[in-house]
Amino acid sequence: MTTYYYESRGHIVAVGPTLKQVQFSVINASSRITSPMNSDQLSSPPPFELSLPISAASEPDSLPRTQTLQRRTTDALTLDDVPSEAPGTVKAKRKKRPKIQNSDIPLVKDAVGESVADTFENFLRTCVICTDDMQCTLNDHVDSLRQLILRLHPVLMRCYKTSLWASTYTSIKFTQCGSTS
Amino acid sequence: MGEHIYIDQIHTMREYELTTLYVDFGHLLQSDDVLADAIQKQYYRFLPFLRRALWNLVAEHEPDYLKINPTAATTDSANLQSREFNVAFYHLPLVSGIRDLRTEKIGTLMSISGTVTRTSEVRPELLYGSFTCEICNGTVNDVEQQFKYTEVRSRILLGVPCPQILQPSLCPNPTCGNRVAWQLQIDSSKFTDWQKVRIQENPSEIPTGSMPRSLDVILRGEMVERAKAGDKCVFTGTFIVIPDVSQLGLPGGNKAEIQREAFRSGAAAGAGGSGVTGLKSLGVRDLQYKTAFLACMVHDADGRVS
Repeated sequence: MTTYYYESRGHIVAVGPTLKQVQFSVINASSRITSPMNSDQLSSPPPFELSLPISAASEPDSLPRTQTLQRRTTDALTLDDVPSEAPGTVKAKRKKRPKIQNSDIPLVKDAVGESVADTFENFLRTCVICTDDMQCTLNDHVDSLRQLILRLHPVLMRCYKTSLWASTYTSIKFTQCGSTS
Repeated sequence: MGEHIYIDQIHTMREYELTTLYVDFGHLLQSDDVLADAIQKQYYRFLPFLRRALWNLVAEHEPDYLKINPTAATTDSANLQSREFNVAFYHLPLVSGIRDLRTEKIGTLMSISGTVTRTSEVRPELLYGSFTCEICNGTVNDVEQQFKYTEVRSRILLGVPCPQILQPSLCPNPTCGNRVAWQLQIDSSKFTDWQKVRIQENPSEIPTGSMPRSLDVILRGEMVERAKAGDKCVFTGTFIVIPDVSQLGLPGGNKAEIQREAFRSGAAAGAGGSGVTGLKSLGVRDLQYKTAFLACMVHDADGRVS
């Protein structure tokens, strides 16, 4: 299996035909400094004969596609400076779905609600009614009631006198009627 | 000299086997006005959290009272159910009328005043259903059922299937995949008392020349049978919008809907066209909504607790 290298946009691109596809592996150019290529000693690579045009190949700068391609090339094209992944790494990287015990009861995560619950629990735990204050409040109520009665007293007395006078007047009138009859 | 009134009330709850904690909203306003404001504005959102706070407090001070019968055998699932505790607020600073209810009031904590005109019988309402998968015999617990079950419990007991029950959407057993075959386990499901009360505007609050407005009030737990017809009461709770599932259970469907469909079919026949018909036979119905008042506290308008 032949692998070809070329430099593009600051990256060294390895090209290797695998099966019917042309696969690309992008390697950072800085990581290749440790083992530089000597262009004088190397024979010039044969000219490219790509079955696909360059434009159809993936762009090296596009990160997601590069990552998928790298995963493919690790099996087919193993380069020395590319760290080989452990067998379980791909599975570990795969995003796991959160396991929900009962899909019908959604896990309500309301941070404000949690704080309200804590504050309310604290209120219930610490709410103290001072009995002295209650006594004072009761005394205040009694005082205000007494003030009200005192304020209403003249009015009440006037009403009482009026009703008394009315009943007296009626009895007098009835007496007079009785006497006349 | 002071006393922790709510802690004492929890001990009293255990002594008299009560499940409702009565909280004076004035205490809350004096103690923490930010908390009082949050509860007042978003009561329906925070209601589960308030109940959980109470549950934590009961677990701390009366841990034996959490279970309905803590001495029962562990295999007796019915008696090992945990109690549902409720929080009832009273002494709100403002009492509104039925005519003051608006969209912005939905979900807020408020008090309304009205005269009770009609009371329903007390029925059991399923709060949390427990279902058994008929294929793999797996159990799904605590499927919330609020506002859906009350009207049809008798049909359940008779074995008549009821579409109003909210069943689990999928069996938790990954190899099963059942979505439809469920059996309700009444013994391990959680019920509460439920009563619907119809209230009407107080005569003094009706504007001149207007008809009195009415509203349904939902009472639960220990609040049932506190209001009698003719009583002038203050209800504290929240204004809610609930799906009117009672219309779905009727064999003939909604009367207005039937009339509308008959009118449509008649018009289509008159025009010579043939539209899409037969939806009713497929069970496709319009979902109706209605407003109600979910009350957590009832007391007489003169301040006496019924």
